[in-house]
Amino acid sequence: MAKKRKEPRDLFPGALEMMVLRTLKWQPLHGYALAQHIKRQSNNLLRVEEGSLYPALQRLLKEGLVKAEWGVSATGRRVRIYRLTPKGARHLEREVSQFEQMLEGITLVLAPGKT
Amino acid sequence: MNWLRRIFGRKRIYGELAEEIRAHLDEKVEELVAGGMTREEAEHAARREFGNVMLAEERGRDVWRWARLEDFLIDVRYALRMLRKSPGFALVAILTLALGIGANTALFTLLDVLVLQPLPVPHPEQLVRFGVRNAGNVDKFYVSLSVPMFREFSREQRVFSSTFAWWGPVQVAVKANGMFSTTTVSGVTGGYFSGWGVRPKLGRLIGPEDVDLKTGVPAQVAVLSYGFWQKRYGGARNVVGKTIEIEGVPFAIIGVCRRVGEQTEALNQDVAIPLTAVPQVAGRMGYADSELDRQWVTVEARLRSGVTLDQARAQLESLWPGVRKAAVPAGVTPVVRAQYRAMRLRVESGEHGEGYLESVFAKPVYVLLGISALVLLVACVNLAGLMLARAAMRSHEMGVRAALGSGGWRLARQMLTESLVLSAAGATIGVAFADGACRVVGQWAFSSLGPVDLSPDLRVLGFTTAVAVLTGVAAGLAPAWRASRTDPNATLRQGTRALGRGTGRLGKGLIVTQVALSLVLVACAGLFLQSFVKASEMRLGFRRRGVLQVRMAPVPNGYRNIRWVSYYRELTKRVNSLPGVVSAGFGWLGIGAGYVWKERVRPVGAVNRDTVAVCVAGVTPGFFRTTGIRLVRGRSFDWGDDTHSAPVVIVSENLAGSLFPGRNPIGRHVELPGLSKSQWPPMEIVGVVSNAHLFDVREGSPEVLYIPMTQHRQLEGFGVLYVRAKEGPQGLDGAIKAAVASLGHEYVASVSTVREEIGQSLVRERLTAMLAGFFGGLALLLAAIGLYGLIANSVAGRTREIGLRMALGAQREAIARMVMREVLILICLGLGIGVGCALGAGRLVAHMLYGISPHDPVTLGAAAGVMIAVGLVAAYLPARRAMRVDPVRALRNE
Repeated sequence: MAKKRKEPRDLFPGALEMMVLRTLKWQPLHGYALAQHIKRQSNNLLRVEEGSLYPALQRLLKEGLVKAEWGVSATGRRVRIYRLTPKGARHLEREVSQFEQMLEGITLVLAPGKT
Repeated sequence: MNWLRRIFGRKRIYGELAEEIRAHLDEKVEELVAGGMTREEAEHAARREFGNVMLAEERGRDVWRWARLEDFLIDVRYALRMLRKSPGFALVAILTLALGIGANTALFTLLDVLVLQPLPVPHPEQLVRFGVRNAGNVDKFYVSLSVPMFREFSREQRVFSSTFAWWGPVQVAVKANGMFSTTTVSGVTGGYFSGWGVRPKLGRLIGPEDVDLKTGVPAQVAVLSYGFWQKRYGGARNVVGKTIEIEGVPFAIIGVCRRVGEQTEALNQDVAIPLTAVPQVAGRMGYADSELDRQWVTVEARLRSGVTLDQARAQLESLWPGVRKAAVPAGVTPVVRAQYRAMRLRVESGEHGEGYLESVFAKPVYVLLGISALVLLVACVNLAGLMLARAAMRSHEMGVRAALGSGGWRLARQMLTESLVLSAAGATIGVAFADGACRVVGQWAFSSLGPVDLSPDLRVLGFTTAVAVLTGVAAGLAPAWRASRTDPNATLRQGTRALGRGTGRLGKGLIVTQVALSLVLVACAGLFLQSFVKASEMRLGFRRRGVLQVRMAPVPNGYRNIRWVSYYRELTKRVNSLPGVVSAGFGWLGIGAGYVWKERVRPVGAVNRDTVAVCVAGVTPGFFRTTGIRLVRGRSFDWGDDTHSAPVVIVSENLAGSLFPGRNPIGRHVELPGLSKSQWPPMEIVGVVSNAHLFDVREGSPEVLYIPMTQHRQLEGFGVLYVRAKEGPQGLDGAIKAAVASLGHEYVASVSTVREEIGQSLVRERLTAMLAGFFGGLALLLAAIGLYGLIANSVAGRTREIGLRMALGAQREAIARMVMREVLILICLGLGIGVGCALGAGRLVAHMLYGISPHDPVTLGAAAGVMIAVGLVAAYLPARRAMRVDPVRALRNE
């Protein structure tokens, strides 16, 4: 059973959280809509397991980066709608800039011939 | 408050998480169904894309957990479940620990009260007590100064913010609110109340303006204690300005103290009067030296801020030679002058007071604390053994857990948690147990010594907590170590097939340790018990059965115009004539009381170095007959020995031997070089009496010089009446009281028997012996339980081996012998170590033993014998079980 846990998860730790925050920056969403949105935005290139979204959301809640309120979805069901907090927005900015730096570095290393 | 919400809101959070996930799946299914799938297909697809629902929920919940704390709680819950499963083990373990921890808590409470707690006054750490050992005063806890010394020190010193002194407290007749009673009175200096930090409840307290030590002019004022005010005046507020009579001398009440802690002996007086007023009443009280300059007072001082005790001591030492020189009274004999020169200054912290209780009980309490710590150690070893035995039974479980991925530390932590849970439960019961024990001990040992508050305080609870944690860790260490080394492979594979192993090296070590420790405890108990029995059954040289000791106190002005000799004679005659009385006589000595008048005596004409240290006892005719001290030669005192006749003395046999070895002492004269010749002229020895352990019964028989009280003014008024009854002394009290009252001078303050007095004087020995005996018994019990547990476990573990041996032809007796032999070897090993430790321990407690060597071979041998017997009994049952192993069953079990 222990081995089965190694299913494809996030790309790297924190990636899913970053994408969630990024998505929520546009608009408040509930869990299902968030999952669909991320899938669509990534052109289905990233296979995000929907289940892993919820632990990530709980982490963000605990850190105070997002807020959740019970509301009604477009399809008329009771759902919890997540919203970015100002702290979450700041966190996102920091994370994104760090991530871009890292990406830049990786790109440079992976394509040495170009320089 | 976020964390609060987190704790209490967690259930809600988890519920919401579950609901959210359900909603997610529903939405997905609906979408898929709308896209053309069947509901069944859609549900499968939704689940597939979502992943493991349970896992998602669990991980979501994990976010909110406090991993360490919750793991610990889980461990605790698991430990509790395991303990519930084996209630017998849990009960034994918890009771064992409760007794061990409770005993330690109780003794620490005693130590706390007697030694550690500071006086209940403001800034007790500033208090310093200083003085000299009073010449001839054997009491270890009194240091005092003469009033001139106090004045000199107070004037010269620069290290104290205040110095104050008091005389007493003494028991005197006081008439207050129209009633007359024996009351404790102190004479105090002007700085006394402010120095202690006591404030008035009513009116004002005695201050410097009331006490002028230079002129000695007394102010006739008195201050009442809070308790006395409540008791005698019912707390009436108009008490200030009323008059109180002390020995017939009127004093005006100027104030009442606020309540202070009752443990401060120094503040224990009911009534305080100015020190300068003491001479007015001291003579009437019968305290002979009524001259202010000759009074000795207890001195205390408060350090200036920033001054240390050492600095204060240094300054006082530098002042001391000058002070001593200035303080020698004029016109004293060279001997007294020499005594002054021999005095040494003592400066001590007064933070904890210098109480009688402390001086008597501190040592035994330390020793008993050591003993109870050993008991706790035995309990720890015991518990460790039991847990180890259980761990062996649980090795399969441990193996499974290790195989499932539990780390060594995780398993060790489980064992530690279990022992901590046990010790916590033990400590909880132990505290209740200690509270009860303290109450019993307090009532039993200290009841006659005044109020002692023995309720546990924060320090005690802290101590208990620390002890409980230490105990838990200590007891859990061995099993935890064993658990952390669990090899899942070996355990699981070996499982049921191996022959099984006996007690491991760890278990054997525990048996040896337990035997050794228990032997030390049993040996100590034996020593203390024998010491107590010896002290209480020693031939004292006088009767203790059927002899009453009657203490008397004066009625108001009872001593005015009293003629002591005829009073003694008349009272003796009246008491003698009571039915049931054999004889009566006065004595000025405390039988068994431990206080004593010491002098040096020499044959007249001998040089100084021929003096002999003696205890002086004043007696009247009839005393020897009453107390059963035998006249060996010469004559006893009679009523004709009065102030008009030539002074005479009687000596004890051993004193006669020291003064006049091999010669007849009768008719020879002796003198007391330490006293003034005019009052104490040479005295003729008229009789020799048998030796008696009169004063401190623990010290061998003293050399006693008996002086007729009828011949010396200085001894008047101090007599205690001894009455020997024909049969039981019961019922004589009333008649004696009436006889005393009929003469109108005194009333009976207390009646006791000599037996009781001696019993009281041995309270320390009794307490030590009883508690040590209790601990010894406890250690034996623990050892029996522990040995039984370890051996039984070892036998159980070897069932297959034993079955195999039997199948191969071993006799049942041989099997039992094998088990017993193994146990005996371990016990003997333990005894060997234990005897060494017991010898060391004996040396530590030697100073508390009476009449028995700390290395008494009989005691040690008996203790070892008892240990072997206990060990054999503990081993017998498992050995019998081993004998009854059915080889067919044992082997078929494979």
